[in-house]
Amino acid sequence: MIEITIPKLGLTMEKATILEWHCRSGDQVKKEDTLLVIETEKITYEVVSPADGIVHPIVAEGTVCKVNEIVAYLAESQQEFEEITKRFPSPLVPEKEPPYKASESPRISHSQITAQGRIKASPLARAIARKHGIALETIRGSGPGGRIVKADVLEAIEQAGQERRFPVTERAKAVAETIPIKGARKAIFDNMWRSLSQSAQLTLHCDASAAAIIALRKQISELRKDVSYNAIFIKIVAVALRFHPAINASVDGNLIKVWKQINIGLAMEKEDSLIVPVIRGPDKKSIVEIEDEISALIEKARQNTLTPDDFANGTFTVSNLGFAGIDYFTPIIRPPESAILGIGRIVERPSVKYGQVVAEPRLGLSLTFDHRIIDGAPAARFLNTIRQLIEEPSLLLALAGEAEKI
Amino acid sequence: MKTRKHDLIVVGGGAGGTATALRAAQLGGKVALIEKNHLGGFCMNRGCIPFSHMAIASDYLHKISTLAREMGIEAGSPKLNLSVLNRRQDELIKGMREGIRGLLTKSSVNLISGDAQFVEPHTVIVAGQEFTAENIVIAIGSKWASPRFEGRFRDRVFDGDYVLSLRKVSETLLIYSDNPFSLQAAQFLARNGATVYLVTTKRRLLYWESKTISSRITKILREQGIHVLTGTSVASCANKRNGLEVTVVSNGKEKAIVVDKLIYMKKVADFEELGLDRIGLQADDYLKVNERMETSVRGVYAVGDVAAPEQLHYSHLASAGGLVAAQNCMGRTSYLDHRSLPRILYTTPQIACIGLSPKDAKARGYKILTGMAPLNMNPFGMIMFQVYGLIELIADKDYGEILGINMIGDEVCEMAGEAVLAIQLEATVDDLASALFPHPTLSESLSEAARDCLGATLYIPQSG
Repeated sequence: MIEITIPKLGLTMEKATILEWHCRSGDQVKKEDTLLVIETEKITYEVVSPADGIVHPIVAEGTVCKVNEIVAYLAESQQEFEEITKRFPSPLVPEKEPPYKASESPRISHSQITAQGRIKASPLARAIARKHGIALETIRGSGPGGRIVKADVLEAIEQAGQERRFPVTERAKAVAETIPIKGARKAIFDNMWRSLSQSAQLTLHCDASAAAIIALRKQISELRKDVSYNAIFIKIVAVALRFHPAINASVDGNLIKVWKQINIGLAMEKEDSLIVPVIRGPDKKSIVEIEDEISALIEKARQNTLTPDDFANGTFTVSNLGFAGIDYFTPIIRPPESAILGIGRIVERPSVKYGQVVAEPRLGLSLTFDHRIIDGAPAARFLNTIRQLIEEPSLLLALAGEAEKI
Repeated sequence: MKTRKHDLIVVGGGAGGTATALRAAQLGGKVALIEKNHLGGFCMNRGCIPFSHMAIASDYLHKISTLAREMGIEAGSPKLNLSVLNRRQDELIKGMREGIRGLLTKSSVNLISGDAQFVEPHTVIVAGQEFTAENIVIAIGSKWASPRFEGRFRDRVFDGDYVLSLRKVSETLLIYSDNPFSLQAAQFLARNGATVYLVTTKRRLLYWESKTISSRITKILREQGIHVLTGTSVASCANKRNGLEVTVVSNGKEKAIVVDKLIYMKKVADFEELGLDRIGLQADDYLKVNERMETSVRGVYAVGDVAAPEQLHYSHLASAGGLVAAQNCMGRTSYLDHRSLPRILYTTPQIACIGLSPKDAKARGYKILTGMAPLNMNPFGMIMFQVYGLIELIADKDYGEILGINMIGDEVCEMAGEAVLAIQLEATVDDLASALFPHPTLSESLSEAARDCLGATLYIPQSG
């Protein structure tokens, strides 16, 4: 008998949620078959079978488990399987839909929803609402005990006033697909909401000449190897943060914590979801070293082998939407960080030089910061430093050592 | 003269008045109820209760003398002893009246005996004593109208009360009526040996109900030997040596029928002594009210028979109206919903109609589906000799709303409650078609009628 447990995927990992079982009790599985998918706050991970055998899951989907907690047993024989099922008879109950909470929708008076989450409506009211594509949730019930009756639905239809002008199918909002919010999407969902609801975010925009970094990138390629613009941007941001340490900070209760290390997250797209692996100490690394780290993280992401440690302890984030043809945007801070830099595309724009209008490659910069702890002027100064470094990257050479000492 | 003040005065102690008074008292009102005669009103004393008692007796007699024999029960030749029947009837009614009095007393309703007359909209006078209230509910009900034919016909022409006090059933009787009670009376009298003419001015019996029901009951009455004359009116009466000669007119043709007695059954509201003119209320046959049971005079409400046409003289409508009136008088907002009004009749077989007839449904602009389930194809119906029994269901084509359920058959009055719930709770025809009805019962046919609406009967071969 082999115990299947929640693996520890990184130093910081303490627990994981069982997202989905890929097997049912009694299934014959092979070594390396995926048994279940778990998720931590940062990643989803497929747990594979360590051997051939008959599996018996004992923990339901949606359960939060501690690292090393047993979630299934793997039997070597049918006889052993039967013994296991006798010892752990609890069959798995499929995850139930969360009960509807009346308080979540202010439009509905409590009385027309039962404690079990059923909307009280007469069968006829339901039939009419269905035919007219009207959601019962949007109707107030006037029947006994708040029950929605025919008259209420007819009134709602009349109010909509569209009844005869458009056929039901055109007017109705029909669900084409229902996608559960879970896994990575759930993590993004929660983080974005938490970010905007818990901090005061302000975005500053400016643009910069990209001529110098284009040249720099070309020179590095010729000298050593191809590097991405992101590697250059991360180096520039890291050096700029050394001169503006107040940006490299977090709110912790009543305290502002300014971090010693600079760890910069780089937003990436992965299979319709957003991941932000972290490059550690880029202020102390060369652009080529940074590029190597980025490449390694992208490769791990492809192989699906990123661990929670790859996401941990960021202090600032860079999000580059240049590839998507965007100039400016308002990136959202990743808590507990306090700022994020959005980078736009490099594109030739008219620029005035020595009284002449000339074409010059330029790029847009958008800095979102938490106005609770960072004032507008210091944020603007930080953004200006970034611009200066982008326009004159040779300053990196001049300032790198100095920054080390700060 | 001292004036006594109340929150509410109810004039009339029948079904409507009692419900009004009890509900208003329940809501904390100080209530006076004025009744000039017996508590319980027409329903309890002269209508539903004695008539259904009489009808059930005649139904038992019919079953024992004919149907029971087919099951092998030998009961000789049973006869109905009218004096025993009437004694039981009087005892029943007396007990019920006492029950009502007890309820009203326990609710601290001030019971006042006497004739009430309006002084002004908030004041009535009873035997010289004035009573005032913010609101007054008129619930005086109805009575049998006196027959008015030219001439004097002592001991030959009667009103509806005649049927309830019979010692002996005459040989030939003519009932002249458009009232539903006339069907029960005709059956009762015919079962007890009389030759009965049932004359109605309307084109068919129960003319406001579904044609299906009306034609079935007409056929049943005729098979029982009752002469049903529809679209016929009584032109005159004349005393003859061999009896009363009644001249009836149908399609302009006169015909003379000689009978022992004529029973004229028409119900009218009884507001002559109420002094409605003093408060500026006009009434033809009955008082017009809105769905809050308000008359055109502020603070004056009317419920029950006094506020309904003759074919809607139902005590359950009166009490439902009473609840609405009481709630409105006590500061709540309440409306009477007619949709599920049941109309029942204790004929043999019984009749129960709820909601709309197919004709009324169409007149209201519904596109309808109609379903039928004959009770002679229902297993329990076969056991119960249901030759003519039938359930007709009318549903709206668009949403499957159940618009009407019309039933004829044994015990269908008891099934009326199911139909009321289905309509009141807005069940659709699909709900009824898939409802789990017990077997073997007649009620299974409700489900089958619903399935017929959907073109999917299980136990009845589909026509066409």
